[in-house]
Amino acid sequence: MFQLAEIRHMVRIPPWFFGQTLNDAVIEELNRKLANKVVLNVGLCIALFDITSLGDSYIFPGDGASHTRVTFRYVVFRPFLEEILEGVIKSANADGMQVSLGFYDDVYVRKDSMMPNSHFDETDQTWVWDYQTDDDTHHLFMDVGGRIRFKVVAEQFVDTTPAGPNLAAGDSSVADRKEGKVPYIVYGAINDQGLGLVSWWTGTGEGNEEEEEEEEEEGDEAL
Amino acid sequence: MNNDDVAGRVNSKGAVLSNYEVYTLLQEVCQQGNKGKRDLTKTQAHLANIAFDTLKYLEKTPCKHQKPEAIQRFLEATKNFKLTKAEKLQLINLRPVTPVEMQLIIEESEDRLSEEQVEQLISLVEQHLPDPARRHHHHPDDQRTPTITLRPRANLHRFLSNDLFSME
Repeated sequence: MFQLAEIRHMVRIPPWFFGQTLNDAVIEELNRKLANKVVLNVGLCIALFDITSLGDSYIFPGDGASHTRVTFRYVVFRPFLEEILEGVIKSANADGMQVSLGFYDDVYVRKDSMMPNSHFDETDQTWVWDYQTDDDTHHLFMDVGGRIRFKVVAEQFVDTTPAGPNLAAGDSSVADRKEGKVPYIVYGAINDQGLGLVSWWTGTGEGNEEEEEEEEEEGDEAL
Repeated sequence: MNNDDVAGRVNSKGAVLSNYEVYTLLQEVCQQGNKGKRDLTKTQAHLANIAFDTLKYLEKTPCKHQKPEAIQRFLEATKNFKLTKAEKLQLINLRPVTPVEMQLIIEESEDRLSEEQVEQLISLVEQHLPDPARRHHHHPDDQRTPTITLRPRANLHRFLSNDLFSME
């Protein structure tokens, strides 16, 4: 789920950081620049791991800052394909579900990646897996907030650097901004044995019933 | 120079890190923030946010109770199963204890492993990797260590990557 990305970058240290050692200044600058950001085709940056090489520092005419070529390794969130991950269901609609890992929210399970015999329940706004045993059909609800295990099936990077104003297209740029382009999307699937809600597969499957009972009790208390 | 502003990626292979390694690294980051002269949330808001959220996620995974020694023992013990590095990594990260979970993680496990071998693998996972549900159960070799072990980061990584990835 996490990888080390080796990156080479020219780091600009502004003069007010000259009081620190070069190492500290570079570490701070790299973390300020990259932490919690998505780098195209690299992943979501978490934290600096280490610096592998520091080049000479240069000062260019007209700029009081120093520039140093640095090679470093950064911890990035970038699950590999087929990796199994766990998260929490954040929202659901007829197209699929959104899953959150807490620090990363853009995991989508599309409707064609659900278990066979799944459907979207309009009244509850949740996805339901109709699990059939020999004599009965169990409706297994995937409620928002439930712990879910999925397999990574695809990823998608989108370049979100602002383009110049598109005069010909007129209003389309406004529409784009409203949509909010997501730089890095992970697509998950839950259509295999062991995937889906974690509680389905632990123990003897009593987890669901217990939860329902608890909910009923809470309901009674509220009344 | 064109790439002044563009971070150029040197190594596209990218070494994989286990959840445990990221967990210890982020604990160090947060600790430095607490102790250091400067408040991490003010000077490095992005780093503080992502480190805090990632730690919160990892605390709910089995890596919270793992120790490098235990991981190493587990890798030693599973040498003969001919697992890929991705499979080993996920065994450590997810700590599967049911046959269904095992089949999910190990590709084509029906062809590669017999039922007994799957059971064997499960018992090795249970033996070497501590169970998050039973926190007070300690492996006899695991002496009580402070929750945060400060060890040289680079060394730990080297040890894990050698072990995880050298024997395919």
